Amino acid sequence: MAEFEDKVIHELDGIKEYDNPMPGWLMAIWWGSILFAAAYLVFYALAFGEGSMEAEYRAETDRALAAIQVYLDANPLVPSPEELLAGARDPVVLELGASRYARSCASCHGAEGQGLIGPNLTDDHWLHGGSISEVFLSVAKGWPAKGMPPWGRAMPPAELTAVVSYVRSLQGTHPAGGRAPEGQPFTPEPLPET
Amino acid sequence: MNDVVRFDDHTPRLFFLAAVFWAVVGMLVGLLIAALLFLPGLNMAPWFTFGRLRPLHTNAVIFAFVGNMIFAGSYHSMQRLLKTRLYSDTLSRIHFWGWQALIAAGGIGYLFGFTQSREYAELPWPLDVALAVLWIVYAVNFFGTIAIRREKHLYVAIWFYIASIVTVAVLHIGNNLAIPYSWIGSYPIYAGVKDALMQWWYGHNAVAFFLTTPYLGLMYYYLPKAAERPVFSYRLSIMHFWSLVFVYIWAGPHHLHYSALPEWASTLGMLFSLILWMPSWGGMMNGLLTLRGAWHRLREDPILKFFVVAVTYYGMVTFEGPMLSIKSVNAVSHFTDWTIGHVHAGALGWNAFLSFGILYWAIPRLWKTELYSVRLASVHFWISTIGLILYQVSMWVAGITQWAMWRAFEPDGRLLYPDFIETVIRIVPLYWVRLVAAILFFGGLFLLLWNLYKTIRSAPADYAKETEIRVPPLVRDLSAPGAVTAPNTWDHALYRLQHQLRHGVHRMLEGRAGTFTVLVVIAISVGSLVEAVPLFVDKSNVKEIASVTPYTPLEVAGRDIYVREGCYLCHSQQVRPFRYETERYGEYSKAGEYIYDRPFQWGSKRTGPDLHRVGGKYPSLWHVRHMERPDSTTPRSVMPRFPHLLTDPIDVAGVPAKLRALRAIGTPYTEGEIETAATAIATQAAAIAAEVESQQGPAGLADKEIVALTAYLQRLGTDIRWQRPEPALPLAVTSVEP
Ligand code: HEC
Ligand code: HEC
Repeated sequence: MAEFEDKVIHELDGIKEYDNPMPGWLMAIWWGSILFAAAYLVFYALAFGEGSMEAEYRAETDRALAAIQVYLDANPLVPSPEELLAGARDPVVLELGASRYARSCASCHGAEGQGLIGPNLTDDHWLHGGSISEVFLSVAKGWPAKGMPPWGRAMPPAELTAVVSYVRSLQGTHPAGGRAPEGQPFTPEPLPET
Repeated sequence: MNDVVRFDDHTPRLFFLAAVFWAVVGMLVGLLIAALLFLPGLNMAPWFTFGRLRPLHTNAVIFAFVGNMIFAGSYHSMQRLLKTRLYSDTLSRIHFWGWQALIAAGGIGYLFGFTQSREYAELPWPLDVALAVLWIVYAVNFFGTIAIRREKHLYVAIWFYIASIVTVAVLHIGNNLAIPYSWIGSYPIYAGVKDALMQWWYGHNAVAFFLTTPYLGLMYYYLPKAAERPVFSYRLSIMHFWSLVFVYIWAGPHHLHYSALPEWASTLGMLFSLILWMPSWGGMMNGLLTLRGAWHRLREDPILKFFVVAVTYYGMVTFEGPMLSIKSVNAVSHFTDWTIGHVHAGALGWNAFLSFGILYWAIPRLWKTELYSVRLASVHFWISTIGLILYQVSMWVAGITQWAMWRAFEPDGRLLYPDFIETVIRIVPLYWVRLVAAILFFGGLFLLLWNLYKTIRSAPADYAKETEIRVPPLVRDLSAPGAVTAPNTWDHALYRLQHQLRHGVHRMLEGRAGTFTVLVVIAISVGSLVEAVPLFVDKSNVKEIASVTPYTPLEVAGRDIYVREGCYLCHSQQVRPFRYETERYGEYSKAGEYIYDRPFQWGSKRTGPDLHRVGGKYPSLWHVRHMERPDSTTPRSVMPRFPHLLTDPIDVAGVPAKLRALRAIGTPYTEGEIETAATAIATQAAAIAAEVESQQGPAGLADKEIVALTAYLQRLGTDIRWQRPEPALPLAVTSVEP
């Protein structure tokens, strides 16, 4: 740092004041930031027009959706009914399904599927159809207007499949305190032999 | 012929003691809420929940601890700098006791839920009035002292005090204009986006003119005193004082990037924040360079250590601040703990450290004794420094981690962490680190308490005997012809002007407190007006949306519960236009959706998820269970329980007065709607209670607060139709059509 003159120009209550010049780099920051701000303002006023935020958002969304579409075309989301039914007998799948169920479903359907805010999942009555494919759709797309959230995009595909298999495995367990049956009766599809 | 001037040191003594007392209270509550954030079982509803305690913490630290330090330091230093006694002993007493009563009343009121829920402006309207009156008392006492001064030129510390006093008055009154609906409750006259702009104009400048400029004033007095070194540069003082005062006031809208605030306003906020870099660093450099030649004393003198860290931290924070104001950086930091780290770097690093240095320097002098233990003060310095650094680093890491988790996507376009609570659990270890940091800092404060207690105990019996100095009265400069009379010829006038300008324009200004103050007012008005006026005048800034209607009477009651419980301290209501936000929460927020929001509740920190689109997301029973016990619907939730909402009745009788107040400031309720409010409440509440019961929830909730709150939550964000931008899901085109 440059040497300063250190000339006292005032003194008051024992406090002296020098009148040293301002450090040059500090002044460079000052003018630099003002220049930058002016340039940015011009750039902003000319280049963005109204609503640059919205424009950025739309572009970001379009880019992302295109990329997702490519991915989904290559990796379909929907399992076959056979796969779902087979899962209901597979202990590994069931364990994954049970843990996901406890985390995401139990608050509304009860810890044992007996029904709470949402309907009983253990009886053979269904509001939206009881075939395994229909149950899968209920879970994946939800019934948002009725308070059932869509889960298809809220958990990994493997867990989505597993949780549906797990729900199938609850059929006929008759837990205590179950909610009364709602909807139409449906005879569950048979599970494959193991 | 000299006058005898006796200093009133009793007043600063009282204020210094009060500052220490409130520092203990404020930081203790801070410790508690740092723990509440991850140990939700410690909340004790209704009085001691996070939402009610946080304003107590912020207000105790800002207005009580820092406030009392400002009063103490300004009263202490100005008498010496102006060579006169404080203007009025009576005003000093009123100021002191009034302020303490105000803080105590405000703090206790928060526990009872009396709050406006506008950040740092939470005080209910009667206390806002009291605060304004007390501030005027301070101003009269302050300017009265200037008027009776025996030193012509105002020292730089006094400039900063003047700017602070004037601006805080303008901010406080400008931001708190409200219409009362009861002896304690009120609605701000601004709604939605306008309220947001006003509030952050206030909020940011509370940082500027309550936490920064008065403390710069204190720095300019106590730092050269303690270091016994001359102030580095008078020119730099002038330059950074005026640029700071002019530029700071513009910066507020940088708190509202990517929000519904028009983009031009937040852009201006950002640019002026960048320009603010030099004015802030000017203060830091003048402080640090003043210590040239005193560095060797740093080793043994803890007071200088505190000052050096304070000034360095000031520089650090005022670099971080402009950086955080840049839109793309702000997109990361906003709503996360990074912001919390930033304010604590300022409040602890700058304000508290400078305060500690001042206390160790001034208390022994005011009690005419020696500091009890220099070593203890050094220990205090070191453990506080460690606490400070830990605090900041933990919040940086927590903020950036959580941001990274919020925005992480799977390749199939799902959020990697769709459950918000996962992103909270991940940073709990950092909350532990922060708690340890806070305990260290508090431990240091405890050492200060002990050290000062022992110091004061060692004071001589006659410590209160007033210090006397002899000074000549201030007379106008008689060497200029015609100085005591009005100039009677042009030559006279010209000669006098030349004479006064001998030491530069600014030196002349320093002798004219009135002109100086007017210039400060002009400097702060420019930015305020340029940013606020267009928003109020030009309607295109808040585009109307036809489908947006006023809240129903029940929703008004529910909203006031939301306000009372301080939910906005954990929840934002402002979805930003980022894909990772619209994917998580829903369509981004529009200015026109907020026109009936008084006060606005956008929030500034997401400890929980955004709630602007929560309406319709869950069945009503979900909210009932969740509010009663959040971990029953969301395992490991850190949200406090609010069981009293299921038992306390809705204040139906109070609603018509609220609707009338709202109508008076522009919400279009008809007289009929107001008269039949009770019926409307009963009908809507019965419907929600019936829904809850039909979902097999508890019965008999129709007259309980939970129903009002649920009505409000279910209404949120539903005024406009929106759809998530989704890829065409293969789900729709498969063999499993129902
Ligand atoms: C927020 C509460 C809630 C959660 C969480 C929830 N559900 Fe539901 N669910 C409901 C409601 C309510 C219904 C009934 C919708 C209706 O009435 O049409 C329902 C319906 C269903 C149905 C259709 C039942 C029928 O009778 O047709 C299935 C299957 C189902 N849910 C499975 C699940 C699974 C699996 C999960 C966890 C991944 C889950 N739900 C999570 C509330 C919920
Ligand atoms: C200490 C911070 C905190 C406070 C205070 C707080 N919440 Fe929460 N809130 C959370 C957290 C964390 C979550 C996420 C976990 C959960 O669902 O409980 C949450 C979730 C929610 C949700 C669910 C949002 C969603 O989309 O899943 C609602 C609704 C909610 N809170 C309402 C409120 C209301 C109303 C208040 C005030 C009475 C409040 N909260 C106060 C932290 C808080």
